[in-house]
Amino acid sequence: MIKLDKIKFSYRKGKPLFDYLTFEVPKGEFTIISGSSRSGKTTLLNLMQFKILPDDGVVSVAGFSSDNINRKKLTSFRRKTGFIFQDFRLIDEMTVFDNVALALKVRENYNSQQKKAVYKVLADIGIDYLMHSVPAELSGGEKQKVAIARALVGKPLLLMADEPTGSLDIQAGREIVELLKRINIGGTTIVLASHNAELFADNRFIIYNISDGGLKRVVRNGH
Amino acid sequence: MGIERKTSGLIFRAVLGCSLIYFLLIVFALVYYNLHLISDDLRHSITIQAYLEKSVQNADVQKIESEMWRIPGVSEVRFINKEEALSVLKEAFGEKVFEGLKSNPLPASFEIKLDRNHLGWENIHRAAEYIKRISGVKEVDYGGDLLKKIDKIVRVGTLVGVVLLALISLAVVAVVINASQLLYYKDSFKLGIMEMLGATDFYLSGPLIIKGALIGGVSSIIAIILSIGSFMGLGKSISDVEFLPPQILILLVVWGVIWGAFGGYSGFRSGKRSGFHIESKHD
Repeated sequence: MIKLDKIKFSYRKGKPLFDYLTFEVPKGEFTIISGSSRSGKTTLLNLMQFKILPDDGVVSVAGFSSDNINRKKLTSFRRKTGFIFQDFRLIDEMTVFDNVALALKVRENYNSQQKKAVYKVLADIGIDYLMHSVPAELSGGEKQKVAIARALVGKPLLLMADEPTGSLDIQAGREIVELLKRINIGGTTIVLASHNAELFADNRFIIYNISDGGLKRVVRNGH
Repeated sequence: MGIERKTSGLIFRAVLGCSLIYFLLIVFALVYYNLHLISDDLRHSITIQAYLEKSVQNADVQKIESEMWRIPGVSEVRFINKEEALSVLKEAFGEKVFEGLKSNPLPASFEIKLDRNHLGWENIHRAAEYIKRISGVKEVDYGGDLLKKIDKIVRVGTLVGVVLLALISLAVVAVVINASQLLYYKDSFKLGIMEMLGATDFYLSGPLIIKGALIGGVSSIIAIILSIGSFMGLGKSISDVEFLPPQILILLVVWGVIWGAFGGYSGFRSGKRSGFHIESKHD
């Protein structure tokens, strides 16, 4: 699903953040990239989203490649991929329903079938009772669930999450992790960046630690 | 509520700015249009008078006339014999003035008119020069200097008009781009989310293009209403001045809409270039 082949990347001239990094995420896997602040987790996710391009090497995600990505392909890529962020990125003046429906409306062929898909995803995630609320009326955990619903409503092949539990309390964070686990069991590949690896104790998660521009798989006892 | 008020204030200021710019354009167009009407009137009244030698016989008159018809753009050639010329003068100045005359001193002449497409100074001058060279023609008169001056004024006016139109279009685009950029920055968070969700540039720029087109269109309509009001208000003092025809006013609105839409799109592009992305700050 994701392949980073001999990636070299630096923000400025000098020591590169990644120096010939190679990394792969197979289809259906739930991969956690953990590491301290400023270790390069978000940069790695940005490379996987083609927000930034590598100085050298190739990033391939869901059939798209950094070699030949262009505006049109990027739009198509974004429609096949879901993104979740620490700060939720919900639109304050829209209801929960409209925030989720926006992901389909921007595809310019929003119809009653898609409206049903919005109801379904809200019900699946268990926040259909909030559909008429606006983000200001929700807790952090609820906001993140709305963001997850918005990322899922387009049935993405891949879900990328940048610190999705970063601004939540422990209980809400656990709920979000459980929800993501359920989504992964449903078949969606997930790549998640988090500084808090403790939340992902389950053996289902493949954890990589990022430091000094390299990724090292964390091997747990009994696994 | 606060943001909405800021947005409407922004659009209001853009519309006001563009309206004033368009008003100036209409004032100039009005001056230019009337100058054109006057010059057209003058050109239509201009005829070439070709006075013949006294020695010219009736048979030669036919030859001269057929020679004149060979000139490009000639639409009318009328022979005025000596008697007709005198009677025209008598009609103009009265019989008494000519009582002492023993013989008719006036020469026979031709009155030549050119068609609409050949009424410029150069064509008339060229025709007059050709006529001068026809055997039997003694003198040619066509008010050449006046025509030359009119043509020059109209040419300068056209040039000034084209430059002014270009500058005004640029000014309108600049105002709309500025407004669109500000509208864009205001919505940048929302636009960034939409882009992340897979919205195309066409989808994202649509509202700004529409707002730009509306700013351009509404501004031109306001400027037209303002100029019609001023024109009617001035009333009798400018009773000889004609207002711009509806076709030009419609063209102005279309012009406003097109440049406004272009400004809206340019505002979107430059806003996007300067970056609306909602980059994650954590790492």
